[in-house]
Amino acid sequence: MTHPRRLQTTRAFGWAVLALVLIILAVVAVSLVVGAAGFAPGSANFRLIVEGIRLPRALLALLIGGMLAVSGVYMQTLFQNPLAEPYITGVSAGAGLGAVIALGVLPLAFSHLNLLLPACAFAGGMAVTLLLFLLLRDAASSPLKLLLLGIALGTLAASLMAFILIAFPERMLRGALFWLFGSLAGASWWQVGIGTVVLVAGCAWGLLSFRALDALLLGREDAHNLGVNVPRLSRWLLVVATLLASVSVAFAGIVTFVGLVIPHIVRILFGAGHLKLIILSLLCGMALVGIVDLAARQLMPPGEIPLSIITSLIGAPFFILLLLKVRGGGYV
Amino acid sequence: MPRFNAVKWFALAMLLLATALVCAISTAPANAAAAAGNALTQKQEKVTDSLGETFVPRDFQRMVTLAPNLTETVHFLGEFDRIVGVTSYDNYPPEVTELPEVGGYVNPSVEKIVALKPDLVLAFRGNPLPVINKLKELGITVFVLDNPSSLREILEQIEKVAQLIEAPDSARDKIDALRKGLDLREKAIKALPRRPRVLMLACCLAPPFYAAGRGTFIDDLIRLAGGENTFKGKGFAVASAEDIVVADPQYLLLPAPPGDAKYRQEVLAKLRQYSYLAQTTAVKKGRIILIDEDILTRPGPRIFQALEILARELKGVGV
Repeated sequence: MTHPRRLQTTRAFGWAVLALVLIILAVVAVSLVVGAAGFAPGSANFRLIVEGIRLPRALLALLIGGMLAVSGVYMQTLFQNPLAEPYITGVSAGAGLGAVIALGVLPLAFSHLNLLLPACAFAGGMAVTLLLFLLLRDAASSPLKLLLLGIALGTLAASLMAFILIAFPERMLRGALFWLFGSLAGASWWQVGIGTVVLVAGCAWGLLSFRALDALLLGREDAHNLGVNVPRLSRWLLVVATLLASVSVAFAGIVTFVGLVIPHIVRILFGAGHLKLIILSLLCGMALVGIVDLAARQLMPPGEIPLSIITSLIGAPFFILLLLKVRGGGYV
Repeated sequence: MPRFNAVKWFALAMLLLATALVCAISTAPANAAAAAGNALTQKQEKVTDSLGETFVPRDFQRMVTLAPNLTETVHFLGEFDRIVGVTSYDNYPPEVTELPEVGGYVNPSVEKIVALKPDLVLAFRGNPLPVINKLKELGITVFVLDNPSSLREILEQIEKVAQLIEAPDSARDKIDALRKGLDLREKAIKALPRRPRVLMLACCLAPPFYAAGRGTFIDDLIRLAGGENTFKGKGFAVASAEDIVVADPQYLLLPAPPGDAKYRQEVLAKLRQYSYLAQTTAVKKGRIILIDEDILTRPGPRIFQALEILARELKGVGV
């Protein structure tokens, strides 16, 4: 296999971006023509199926992938720990808890859940982060402590979630499975709109502060000496990463693996510099979830498979191969 | 103070996002479509679904049903030929296998449903909310039924569907017959001197054993058949070894795969492996009541067959 250093040139980066963009375009194109309803341009509601169902869904898949991957980059940088990702740091669990509370506990009219379910998921993810802020005033003082606190809060949220599901079994029927394993079946244009704004903002922030983020990789002391306001940067990292992850969970439920592994794959192949890391993680995440959602729709038609089952199925073997074959990139 | 700056921005971002969310949803086309649909409905009697939305009855010709009991309900009403799509779990009536499938009831495919051009989708609360919302957003009429907790509620749901799809008078007669039967049973069980204790185990012949408790239609079924549900838990819940010992059922009611002659022996052998089950009167005396799982566990019209079977089994046995 190629030595990673060869890939860490500007030219390799350019080719990678080009290749990923092409893959993403191909995924969208395929997403538009395949599906349980088949390809029948002549039929009356084919336009509705493509414009109302397949296109928003394909786009939302890309956005979810991008949000999770970039969120993973930020969390790994913030915690200076290769294991950090939205799922482990409690954000996903908090968002899942929010969704399950909306489904199972609040005395809500079923029809209002349309609005409140994503809102509660979003609030749940944000609540975990706010708690982290409150518990540990100086987020930068100890990344490891912050990570452990996140894990503890996440475990707490996960067990509350499980408790609610057991305590209100009949309400669990209302589709809690969707939230626990991820699905894009409800993808809608307004979600694409909000997702685009959040993802663009989240990436733009990272790309504008890529030098400071790179400095943070050297350690807090060195970053400070290089003129980086480490506490402030850390808080922003946490906020932006949480925002990206919470919106993703609110729209597609809990999708595992992407946030953890995509940044590692990119780091191993292309190095840890944030400019390339953010752009390539964004594109890789988009491509992966785009492909995964295609598989979710196509593997057992007309039924659909939850996303989290397939993300690992497709991603894990590739990641293992990479870990074993390539030495010296990223954290490993 | 720079420290609070990020937190402030954070709060502001959350506020903005929440506002955007509310705006986006309040302008969603689904609401507009619903409002337009409601405009011309003054005269006819409207039907309300479990989400509180009202619908104007008409003779829908292309229905998709998102659960087997809903298919069976339409079939019971004599309108099976108006169904154009069903879930992959559907197996009754037998002709149902010829209809296109739209996926399972927890993971149906939106586009498959849309491709069938339904004028009505019959859904229930076990179907995923995002799918229901998406269908509505695409302008499809989705009538959502509740999870019934008694046979009378099942009957009410059948009636609601009959009203909604303008089922013929013959269907109304069938519903009336069911209701009369139910009234008669209510009277008959009042006179019962004693009620045999029944425990219904919902699935899986290995721990944890799920039992039908209070507030389930099975609980009501046992009561109407003249039995007493010995499981005091709420909903379909795990019955622990202690629960089962305390319950000491005289009868075990179990769903069975249809047409498996050896099943009774297998079940008894399995149940005897667990001492707390082996000790119960039901297992000691071999009083296992097996009812076709599709009839027993689907809250549709065939539950009334299950009622007949169970009542017959429980009747006239020394308690």
